[in-house]
Amino acid sequence: MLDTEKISLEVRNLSKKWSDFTLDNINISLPEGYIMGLIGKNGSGKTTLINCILDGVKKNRGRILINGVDHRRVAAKNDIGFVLEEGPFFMDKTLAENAYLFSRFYSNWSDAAFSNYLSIFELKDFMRYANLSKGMKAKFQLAFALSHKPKLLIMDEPTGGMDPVFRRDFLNILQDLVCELNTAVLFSTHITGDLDKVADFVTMLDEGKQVFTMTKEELMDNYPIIRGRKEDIHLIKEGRPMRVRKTTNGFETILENYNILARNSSLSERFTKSRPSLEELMYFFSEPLF
Amino acid sequence: MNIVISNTSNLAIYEQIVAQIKDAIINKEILADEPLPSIRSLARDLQISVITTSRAYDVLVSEGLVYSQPGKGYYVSKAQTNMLKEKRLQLIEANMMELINQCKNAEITKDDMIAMINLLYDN
Repeated sequence: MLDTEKISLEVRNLSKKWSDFTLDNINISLPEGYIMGLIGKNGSGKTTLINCILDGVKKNRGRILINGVDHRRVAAKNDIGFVLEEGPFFMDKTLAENAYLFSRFYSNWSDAAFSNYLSIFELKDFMRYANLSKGMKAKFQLAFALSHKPKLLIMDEPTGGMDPVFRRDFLNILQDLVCELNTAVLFSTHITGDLDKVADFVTMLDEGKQVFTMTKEELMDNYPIIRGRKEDIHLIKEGRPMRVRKTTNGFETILENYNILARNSSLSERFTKSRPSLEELMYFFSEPLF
Repeated sequence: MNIVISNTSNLAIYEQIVAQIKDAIINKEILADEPLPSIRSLARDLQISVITTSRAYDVLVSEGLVYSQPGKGYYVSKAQTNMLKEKRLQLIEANMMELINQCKNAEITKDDMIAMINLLYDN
């Protein structure tokens, strides 16, 4: 890890109960200048977690600190930029009007930066928010968020509506931000290919529980995909396979304790192992639906 | 120095970076006491994570090829370039031994081998 690190986002023992869903005891620590991806199935709690951090929904238990300051304080909110499904913006107002109204909450706001981002993102300030496509709404929110130089950028599925060309640029923008302003970034996505590239940390949620928070390196090193022949499956029992996908003459899985296999060379010769993508990890780490 | 990352390589991304920086040091594309790109800018250029990049640099530091100046960045070490060449020479010797053994098994004489090398080397 790099020199001295300040923790930008700290989530401690966070719980939130809805009538039919519980976000259960989440702990996250994200240093400034790093990117964390948030993955998990639909309904796993990603949006609830993000809304709790943004104080959009009230948590039941735990603490959330932004650069050491309680997330409900104005000073904390001033430091956070966000991109959500809809955002707080007024549907019937133009982008310029929305920016004017909401920029007043942020002490570091820059009009020059805002018009610069609008032109980079090919948006016009006279466009009405309601008329924007999903991808354009995300771009506008991003333009707005970046224009107040946030220390923490939080995004809920920002790339969902973006075309592949802009998605690539979007990742560049994130890395510039991290590189130049030392911003910390937390974003949820189903497009895990984006995270395969740029994420430093990955947090996975499943049914409201935190399955893991690890650096991408740790994940790649400790959870290779194991493939083998059907009759050999009992040999890996000790490594505690998580979810097993059976094929006609073989199987593939990820082991909770891969070391057991790695340490025994005659055993590990019987299996092939390959580096997992995040999509594959997500599959093997989640509870089967059927 | 030009670092290129391949997603289809068998090597992990950090290992690819380590190997390519080693090559650049041996080939004198970067000289002793010259700075390496900063971790963050290399991560951005390659569109990879900061931690992957810093892991590669950690490996280079632990092998003595690179030193870090806190707050400033990473630089190529002086003394270690020869070491690296020596290691590479050892590797080549080992490969040659393997080749010689293969030739012996195939009953190819030393002269034949030299002739083959002469023919292939200048191609």
